[in-house]
Amino acid sequence: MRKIFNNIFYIFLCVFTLITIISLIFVILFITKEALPTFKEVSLMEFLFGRKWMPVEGISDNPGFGIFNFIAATIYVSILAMFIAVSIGLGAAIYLSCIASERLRTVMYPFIDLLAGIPSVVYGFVGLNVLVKIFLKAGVHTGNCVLAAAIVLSVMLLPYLVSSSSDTLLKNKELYLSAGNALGVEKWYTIASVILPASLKNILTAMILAIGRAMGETMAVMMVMGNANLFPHILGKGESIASVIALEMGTAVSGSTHFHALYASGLVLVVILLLINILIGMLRRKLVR
Amino acid sequence: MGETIKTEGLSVSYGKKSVLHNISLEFPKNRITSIIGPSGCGKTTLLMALDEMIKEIPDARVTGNIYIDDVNTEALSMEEIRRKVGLVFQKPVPFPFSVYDNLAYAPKYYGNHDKTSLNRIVIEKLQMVGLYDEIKDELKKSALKFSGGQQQRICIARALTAEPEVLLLDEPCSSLDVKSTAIIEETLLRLKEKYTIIIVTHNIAQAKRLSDKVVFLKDGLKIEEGDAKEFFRSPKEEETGEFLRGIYG
Ligand SMILES: Nc1ncnc2c1ncn2[C@@H]1O[C@H](COP(=O)(O)OP(=O)(O)OP(=O)(O)O)[C@@H](O)[C@H]1O
Ligand SMILES: [Mg+2]
Repeated sequence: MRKIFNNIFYIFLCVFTLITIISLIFVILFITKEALPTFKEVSLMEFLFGRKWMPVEGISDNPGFGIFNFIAATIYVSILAMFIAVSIGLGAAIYLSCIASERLRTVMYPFIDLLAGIPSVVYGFVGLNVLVKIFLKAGVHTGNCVLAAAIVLSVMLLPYLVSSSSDTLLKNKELYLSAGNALGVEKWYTIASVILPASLKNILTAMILAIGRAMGETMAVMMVMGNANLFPHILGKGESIASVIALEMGTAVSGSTHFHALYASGLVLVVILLLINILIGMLRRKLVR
Repeated sequence: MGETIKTEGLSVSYGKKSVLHNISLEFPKNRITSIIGPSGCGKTTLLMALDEMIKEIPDARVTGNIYIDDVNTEALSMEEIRRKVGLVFQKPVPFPFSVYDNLAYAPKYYGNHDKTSLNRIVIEKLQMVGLYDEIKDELKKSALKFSGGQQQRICIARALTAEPEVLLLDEPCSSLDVKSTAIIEETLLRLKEKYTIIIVTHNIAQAKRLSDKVVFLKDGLKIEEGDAKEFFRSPKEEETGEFLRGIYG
């Protein structure tokens, strides 16, 4: 009897796993199929490295489908955001796990989880009304810029980074801090030499997930980055791949090259994410033995 | 025959809860002293008081005196005390590094960066716990990949790298199988030539095999202490006898 149950359960799990994998493959296949017609019009090189994006036929005589600036902006803003979020987040996580009292922790954790639940429109809205205004006062033309987007994005990434890294740090602190104490070693030295390295693997995993979110994040970035087809500079405007797709998909004529080019941009985003995942995964394997 | 470490009127409380009452004990040099007693009687607390690990617990309060080599520990820094008194935990917690890095950790922290000297320390301490011949080709392997018994011996060796005089062990064998336990016991009997050893154990048979001296605690009070042979043959206090019989039966 139990055996039958086990088998049924096992089969269910297999089926669900299969469904997940198949739908993922299906999505990628679909995007690829819709993307391919683009390359009847432009070469892959032109598409990836071209800077001219004039997708609508009829408006200009020779349309252009180069998304290099969008790719650059996506990577630029994500890396900048990660840099801000990781440096602040790691500090906060170390504070929460290793210095804060048990009581402060129980107060802070739900608060951080709450931050993670705020929809991105709200972050974008606050960014637009606060950050962009500040940048405008500081002399940035219109106030919209890559740095503003990176800051908004990093605030959005923070809760997740903080809560997952402080979880592992706390676990490792409970494991190793007293072992260090027993050797007469100072707390900070144990944290830096044992607890942080021991947590690195999980922190890197959290970073993979966070950068995925950063690259795909559309709304908040779109609201503060200015959306101009320019090569990104820290105080200049830029437009991310996700923004292009969100802004133009609604008006692109179905079946036009413009329409297919947007799918192709989506495919590029997926490929970049995949590459970054592989890269961090390799780094993780190299660092952690 | 002197003692390396002794307590005088030691009392410990956690917040309002008083856990150890007025404990005066002497731990003879180069001997193994076992601390036995029912669960919750304060054995771990006593060990933690001896190397001041208890100061890491925010609401713990300690009164009374502890002397190491006749020096009141109040006159010593926390680091000095913890170097003189090594502590091995119930569950082995090697750092997630190689065996070599585990053993070189404390010496490096204390300023030794000389490669040959570090090599010598690592080899010497591993030999002391009888592990060197067993794993000498695997010193670069992660310490987490060894068996529980081997990990515990790595931890004992690591405690020795801080050059302590006293070694405290809190139920070091409770998560180990019979064979690993026997090896650790052998190791301790060998180590007592160089160190003063204090071991908390739940295993009366183990206390019998190892100890020169036994201390029996109950509800935070020292009920009885004495020479091991004497203690087990004819305990003076009724409660001790009950405890010993209770464990057997
Ligand atoms: N951090 C703490 N805060 C408050 N009370 C504590 C703390 N640690 C231990 N106690 C209490 O102190 C008493 C003695 O605990 P201790 O751990 O020293 O006992 P023990 O003899 O080692 O027990 P066991 O044999 O189960 O390990 C127990 O009643 C325990 O509940
Ligand atoms: Mg205990």
